Amino acid sequence: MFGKNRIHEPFAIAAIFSAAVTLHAAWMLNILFSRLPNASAYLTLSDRIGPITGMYTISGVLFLTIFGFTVIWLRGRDCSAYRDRVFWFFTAALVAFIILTHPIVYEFGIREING
Amino acid sequence: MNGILSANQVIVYNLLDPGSVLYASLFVLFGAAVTLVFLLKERPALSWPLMSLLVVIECIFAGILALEFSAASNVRYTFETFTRLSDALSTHRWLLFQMPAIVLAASIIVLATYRDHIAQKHARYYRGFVILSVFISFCAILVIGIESLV
Repeated sequence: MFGKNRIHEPFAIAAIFSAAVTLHAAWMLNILFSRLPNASAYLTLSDRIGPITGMYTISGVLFLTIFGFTVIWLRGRDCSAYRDRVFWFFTAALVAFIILTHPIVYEFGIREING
Repeated sequence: MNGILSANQVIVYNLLDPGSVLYASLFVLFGAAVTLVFLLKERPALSWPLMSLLVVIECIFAGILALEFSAASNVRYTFETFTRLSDALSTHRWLLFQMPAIVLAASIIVLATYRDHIAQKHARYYRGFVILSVFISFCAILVIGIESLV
């Protein structure tokens, strides 16, 4: 399958793209879990460990699914136009994940003060 | 008197904990990976050792997760009392832990796809991705270590 001299570029593009999408999904899920207790309870696969089990499972499944679909979609196509776009999309996802998973950011809220 | 002996006692406790041993080995392997990743452009033949190293790191990540989830390292917690700040940052550590696992898996796929061709001019974005992934993963491991100590 992997010839010595042939580069299967769709695999590389799909890996970067699926990592970026998974990082975006992870910070969104974290905000969802912290804001909606019902969602957290629904996706808790192990009570002893907590909602992080659901989050890890979703991240793993999402990474593999997006990777598979992207490889199928890009097979036989010229991927040169996607190289820089996918790289910058990943960089944006990385920055978003680092900032938006910080406790100061996702626990931020405005509390009403009754006079 | 608190001296080297008491410090050694802490090291012995940590060596008894498999999670801490795996975590310490991550630091050693990441030290090698960070060095190799910056030499990729000059020596493309290093892509194979780097990929092997990343596979080992990924396996260690899986091992740490398995230990944490199976609570095999819970004995450690009876010897320590966590400060409030460390408890507060526990969720952040769990969130941060999945990031290196994801980006390193993608890096392994990129290195397996490009192999020695990673040094070519058209592959600069892929090379940049591998460098960024390894470097940011190392930073994440450092942050997790620092947060667990506060």
